[in-house]
Amino acid sequence: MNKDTPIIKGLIASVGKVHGRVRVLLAAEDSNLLEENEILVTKRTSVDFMVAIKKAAAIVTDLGGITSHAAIISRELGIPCIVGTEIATEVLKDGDLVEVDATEGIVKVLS
Amino acid sequence: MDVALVGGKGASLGELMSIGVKVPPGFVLTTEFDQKKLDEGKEQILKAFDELGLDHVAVRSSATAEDGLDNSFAGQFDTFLGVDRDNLIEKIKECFKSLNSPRIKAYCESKSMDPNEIKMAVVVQEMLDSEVSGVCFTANPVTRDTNQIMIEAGIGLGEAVVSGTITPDNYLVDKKTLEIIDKTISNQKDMGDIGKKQKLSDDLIQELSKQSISIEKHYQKPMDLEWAVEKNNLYILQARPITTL
Repeated sequence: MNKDTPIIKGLIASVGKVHGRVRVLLAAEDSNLLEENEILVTKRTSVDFMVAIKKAAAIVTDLGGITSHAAIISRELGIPCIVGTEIATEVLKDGDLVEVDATEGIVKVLS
Repeated sequence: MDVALVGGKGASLGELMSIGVKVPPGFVLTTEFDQKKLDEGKEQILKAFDELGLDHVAVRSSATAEDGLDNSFAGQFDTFLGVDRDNLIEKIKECFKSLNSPRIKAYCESKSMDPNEIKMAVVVQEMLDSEVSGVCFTANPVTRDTNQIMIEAGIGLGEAVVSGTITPDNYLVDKKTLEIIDKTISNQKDMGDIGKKQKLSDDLIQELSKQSISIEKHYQKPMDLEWAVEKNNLYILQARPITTL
């Protein structure tokens, strides 16, 4: 692995591993911007993000633990989720190709 | 304790007390209370409040269908924190009224439940000035391993942890050996230095684990607990069966 590849760590809230393009949503109102199978990256989710959550291949959040909304909804939907990364919304940008490895609790930027 | 009279939350607190678990002191207004009884019982309620000897309490709704295994009304009914003597009756009334909210009616419809079947009781309870609080599951909610206990701890009141607005510490404990298998120390922002350190001591992690095991044994199913520590004393605030495993 290239040592320059940025790695983001967090708590595994729902297991799984997927690749996808990032969509950073800072406001629930922007939920429509997320395209099918993109990776939802946000500070924390809530019911207001459902339009995006339903299309997302995985969820990565800055805040929260095992009982946060993102954690619970991801387990319900069976999609990978990593919470509490602190920095995901700062480090990741729309269009970044990432691997969300929710078996190790790591998000790797591939390009 | 009769769930029909005291509601799910009230009953679970009573049950916890009966097995020797430390819960914050308080009293329950049973489902037999209605508008008339509330007005008539005002003096009695204020007297019970005075007997607690506190300035502030938490006023929590306790519905008869809430915290039951099949229907989790969690978060649907009202809880009020920091209620003082002047607001007490008003907040109790609001809890009883929350039964008639459109949100509850919609929820009942989605679950094919008759809203008229649900009765409301109200728990009036000491509000702990907790230094640390959080949740505890007697199974790993992520992997579903029933041999592990998962604990989340944050500085301050439990509501912050449960609402997902902060990032708590996460500890994994082996149920059989009580060994702490894993610790993830979070950076709880806005808390400065103590926000970056381990929030619940190893001793308290083990004490909480032991309590959670007794509670699970009593209910005979994996449990989801809310706990708080005040001046090094561990209290259980709520215990309900894990609804999704």
